[in-house]
Amino acid sequence: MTLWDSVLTALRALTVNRLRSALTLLGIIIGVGAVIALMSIGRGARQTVTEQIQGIGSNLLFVTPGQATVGRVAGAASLASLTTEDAANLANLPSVSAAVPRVSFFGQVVNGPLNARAQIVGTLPQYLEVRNFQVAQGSFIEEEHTITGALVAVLGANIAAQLFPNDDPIGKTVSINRRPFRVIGVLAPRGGTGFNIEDDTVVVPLTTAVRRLQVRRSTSGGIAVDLIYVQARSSAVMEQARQEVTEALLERFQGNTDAFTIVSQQEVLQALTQVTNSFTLFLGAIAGISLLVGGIGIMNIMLVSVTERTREIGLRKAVGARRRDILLQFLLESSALGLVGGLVGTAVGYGLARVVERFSIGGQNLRAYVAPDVVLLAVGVSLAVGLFFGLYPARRAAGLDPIQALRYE
Amino acid sequence: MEAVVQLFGIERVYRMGSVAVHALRGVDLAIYPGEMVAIMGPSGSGKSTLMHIMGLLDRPTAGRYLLEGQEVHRLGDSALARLRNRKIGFVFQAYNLLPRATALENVELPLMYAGVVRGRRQRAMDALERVGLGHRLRHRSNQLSGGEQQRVAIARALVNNPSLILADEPTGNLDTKTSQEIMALFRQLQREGMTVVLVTHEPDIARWAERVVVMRDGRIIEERRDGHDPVG
Repeated sequence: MTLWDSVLTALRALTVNRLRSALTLLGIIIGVGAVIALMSIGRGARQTVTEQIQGIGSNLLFVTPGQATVGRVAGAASLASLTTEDAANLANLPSVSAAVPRVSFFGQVVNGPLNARAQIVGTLPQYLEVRNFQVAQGSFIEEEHTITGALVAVLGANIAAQLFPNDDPIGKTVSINRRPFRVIGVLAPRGGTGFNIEDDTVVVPLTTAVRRLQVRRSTSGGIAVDLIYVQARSSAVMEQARQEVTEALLERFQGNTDAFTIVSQQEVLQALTQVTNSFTLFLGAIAGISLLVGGIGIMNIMLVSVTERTREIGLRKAVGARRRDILLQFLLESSALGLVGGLVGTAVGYGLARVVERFSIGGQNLRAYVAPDVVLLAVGVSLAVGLFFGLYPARRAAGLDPIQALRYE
Repeated sequence: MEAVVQLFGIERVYRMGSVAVHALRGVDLAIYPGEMVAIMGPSGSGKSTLMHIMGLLDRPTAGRYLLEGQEVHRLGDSALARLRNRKIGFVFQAYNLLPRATALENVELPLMYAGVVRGRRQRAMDALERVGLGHRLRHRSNQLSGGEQQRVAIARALVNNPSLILADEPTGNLDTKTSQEIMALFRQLQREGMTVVLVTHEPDIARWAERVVVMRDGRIIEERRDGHDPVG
């Protein structure tokens, strides 16, 4: 028997019992659809995270003060180990193009009856460039502001929209932790989606943040900061920059490796990618269970089909079908169910992914990315499921004794 | 002339748990080309078992079977399937057609398993023409009468030009008139050179054969060559 004849025979057998075939398909369709939809959500999350980390800036190292511990309790004094002076020194390293210190804390920003909770960032003018922000209106903080500790603020896009829904915020006064600040600029929104609070920030000069809003002292002079953004000159010298920063800081802290932590953008990305990959796998595994149930449905229907068609199998054997002809015919039937279910399921999964994108969690739009490898995987698995669960019924059919089969009522 | 079928000391023993059932206890039989042979006997006489062995659906426990001179009792499953396909045409009491397939598709089935692609449809049409169903090609088998269904089954049996047609109670489900028509068809095929073996317990049907073999308890107890044609 030619393969083409086998395929046609199998497809005909499936169209004889349309409703039954359709219901069996439905099991696979739901399984594949769920796998694709859920894994696409996982992939979407990964994409969001990746873009977010990359959006922070380019070629960045994050240097944070280390929390020296006494027993297992963080020593409070050790928190403030990095200072503005350190940042200035790091900026002079050969592979480093900029080093921008930052302090941040949450604060209440008020404009008349309107108020918003914001992340207050105290930093230097270079922050704008290193962090890849754009100014939408007005201007950013300048050198002069940090020298004088001026009461000026640049609002994140969301904060500006919340506090000044109808009018231009430039030149207006807002109060931050009960102190009046003049608004000099508004940042352009980061846009996109994600879990970021980047548009919910208010940037003020570093000196202002420390002297007027929050008091912190360094263990060794200068203003204590909680983060220094170090930007390497290029991606090629990232490792070199890291080396230089490490050496400089080790010297400064007399070899105390616990005094600071350096994390590269790449490492943050890797860590988060790992998390979102596990998340994706977890979602896929849950959806995979329904695919498995769909496969059992195929097996069930194939077993029924073998029993119902016992006489037909006997007749086919009598007119010359070999074991392998019968085996192939039933395997083709079950794998056709798997394959068609996989293809339709892909379409359904794609549709579901589009629907999911209309929902949002905590103001952030969900994002689903239907990746080609996920589609290939899902269709491949559903085909394999069809083959696997069809194997036992097909073997049973092929092994039937023709005499018994012909007599079967 | 070489015999189509030569059986020497064929035995068939079934094991039903610890009990051995002797369905055939040493059968010797030769069937020659162009013959029409009826195998008669009460149920349990072993005539169906004998037909299954001749049709290569079953294997003898002991004895030799030569099909057109070829030793077949020791061949593997695939080789037997191939021989069934090329050399043997079956006609069953219950027709055993694929119900939703057309007459043509049913007749094409053995050709499909023979791997024939080119000219398949034409050969199936010719076979249906030969059994007088040239006008029913595209009817589905469940739209045909019993007699027509059996004609389709006969067309299916002869489409691959077998050496032997084995008919197991071919008129068992048909009325007398239709039975006579089907038997006349077998006679016509025999005149055209086909070798036909019938299994039946009806003397009226056996009478169509020129040679009658009577079985009882797994043995041939009588052979006569007195069959005459009741029509002509």
